[in-house]
Amino acid sequence: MSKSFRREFPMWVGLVVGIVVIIDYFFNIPVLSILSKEIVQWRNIVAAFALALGVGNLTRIHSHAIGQKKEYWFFSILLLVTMYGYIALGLITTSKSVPYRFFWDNMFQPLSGTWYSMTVFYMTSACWRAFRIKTPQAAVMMGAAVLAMLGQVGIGQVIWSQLPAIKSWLQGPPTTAGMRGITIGAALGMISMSFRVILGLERSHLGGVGE
Amino acid sequence: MDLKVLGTWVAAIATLSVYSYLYKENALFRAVEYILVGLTTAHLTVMGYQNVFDVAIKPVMTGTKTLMIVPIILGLLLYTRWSKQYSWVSRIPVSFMIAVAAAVTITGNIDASFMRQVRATMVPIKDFNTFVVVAGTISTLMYFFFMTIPGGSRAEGNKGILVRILSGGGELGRWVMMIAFGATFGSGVMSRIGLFIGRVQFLFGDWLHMIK
Amino acid sequence: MNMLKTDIRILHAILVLVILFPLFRPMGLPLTITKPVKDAYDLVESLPKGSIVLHANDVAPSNEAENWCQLLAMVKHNVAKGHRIILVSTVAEGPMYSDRIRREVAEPAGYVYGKDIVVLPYRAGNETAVTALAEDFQGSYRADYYGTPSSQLSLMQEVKSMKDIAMVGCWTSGDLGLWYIRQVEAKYKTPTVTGIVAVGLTLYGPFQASGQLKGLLLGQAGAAEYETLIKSPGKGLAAMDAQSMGHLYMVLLIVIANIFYFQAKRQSAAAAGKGAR
Repeated sequence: MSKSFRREFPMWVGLVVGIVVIIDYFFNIPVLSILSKEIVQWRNIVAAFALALGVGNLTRIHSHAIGQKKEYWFFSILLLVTMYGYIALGLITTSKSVPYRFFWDNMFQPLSGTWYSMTVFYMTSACWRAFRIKTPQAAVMMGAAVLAMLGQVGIGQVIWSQLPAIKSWLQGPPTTAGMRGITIGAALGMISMSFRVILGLERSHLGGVGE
Repeated sequence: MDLKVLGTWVAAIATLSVYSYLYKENALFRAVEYILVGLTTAHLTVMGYQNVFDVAIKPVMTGTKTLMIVPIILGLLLYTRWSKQYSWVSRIPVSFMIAVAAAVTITGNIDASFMRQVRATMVPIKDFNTFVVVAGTISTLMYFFFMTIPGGSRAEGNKGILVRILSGGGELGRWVMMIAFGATFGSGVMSRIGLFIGRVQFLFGDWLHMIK
Repeated sequence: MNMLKTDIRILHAILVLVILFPLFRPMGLPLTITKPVKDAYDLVESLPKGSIVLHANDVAPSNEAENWCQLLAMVKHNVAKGHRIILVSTVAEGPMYSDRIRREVAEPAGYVYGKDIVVLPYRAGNETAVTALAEDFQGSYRADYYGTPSSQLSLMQEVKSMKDIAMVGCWTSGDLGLWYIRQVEAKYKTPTVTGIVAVGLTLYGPFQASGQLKGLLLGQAGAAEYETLIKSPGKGLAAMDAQSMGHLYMVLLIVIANIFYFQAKRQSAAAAGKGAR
């Protein structure tokens, strides 16, 4: 197949399905409506297939690390054993089984939760080392942050009874104004970018995979 | 040993292994890091498979909806990315997925994120709060839309009256956004602390039974 | 300037102590109920017994400390009001938490599975999964999370479209609430409330202000406020004193660090001035 076909055909697939879904939104055409619903369902199924891509990528990377005896290669063995073992357990016994839930409740969930909780320590470092009031805008930002931080917890009310009201106001009109402007701008940007993707003007998502 | 007690101890050791990084990086931390990556990928795969089986494979096998063979084929084509010769084929399902997501984004954003937000801003100004919302929203939009002005901005020496209005509006928008970002940062602190409190409640409550 | 080079592990240790102290000795600090949370509560209160409520449960370990407390509080309220509950997820971890809702809240309260509560499986696709659910609810879920055909679940048979849903609750740390606003609330006018992690104020604030969201729970504070309103204290409320001390500590760090910074800046400016002379 020619190089141009390999580039153009996927783009045409995207154009057709994208146009069908958009036209269905604006016009009430029964045939298009049924087709659009099917296309959306199909998209979700293809997305589910994509979840397993991670298995292939990890296998490739860590097999290479084991083969080359790179640093921490023995941990790569641990990763692959864990991954394939848990997949086998899930596929054979399903995610509702006692052994599957045991590992999920007592390894995956605490590990994942603890990992994310580490960000509080990075925040502590940032508060001490990084947040410097160098400009008037930074001062306004920090002032709003401090008022919001204290106003949203009980200690703020103890320090000054008006703090919760100030925090509610800060998180009300000014935040709404700022974020609404960003939301409207972002919505316009997303709409235009989405049109560019459907029309094939934006092809970065199709690049780098074979020619 | 009771399975629940065993599970709690396993969870506690896993939690403390991650926190050991705060002192110094060590082999135990690295081990649980790799285990977490393996478990996460495995769980996604298992749930993804169950999703595909329920919605596509079973209807095809039972004959209730044979049309589902189309997304199954598209999904399998994704894996051609690992073949040197046929990796270009994986562009077809990728393009399909991205285009449908883009179309859904357009149809969703036009009304909910754009028109209704604009409508919510176009209200009679009856009090100070409404004035702040309207003026703040318009000035924030001015900041983004008029970042570059033909002929140069006020900062670049362009002293035209229109440029002054546009630059001034944009400048006000910057201040409004600083307040918004500051208030958001304050909320972000609650998120981070909350995650840590959750783990502390587990360690000292569910594991050591020292707090209720 | 030397103080700013303190070993960061000392600051981390102080943080741990500051968080631990109020967990061991609750301080009983006050809690203000905010309007968005009260609006969510009032919406649930207004729904008649037997109303079908859809909870989009995207709780995961990364947001469990906030979203799980919020979801738990609202489901307890739904159960107390006799609402029927359907749980869906667009994250792989969601059904694991939905299963806990069934086991720990619904069934102990006498709810019959299939008639009063249904747990539906994970669906990949993010916003397109929500679109599919909104356009063809029964077609999207031919079986529940446990493999039971939907045709055998009476609650599933009653939901032909989103118009049969009295309220949608979205529990997430990301864009889930926005997807439901765009694909469900905009098209079917289904009242929607969202429980979001605290940092999600930026995303959802404008939609709450415009009335597209009928209620908004922000972070652990939102969970604590809701627990207070339903008079069922839980982990959210228990965490608030520790949140207070943690916040105060962060504010003090910022203030003290900036004082040292400005002091050092003045000293180096004075030293530079002397050197120039």
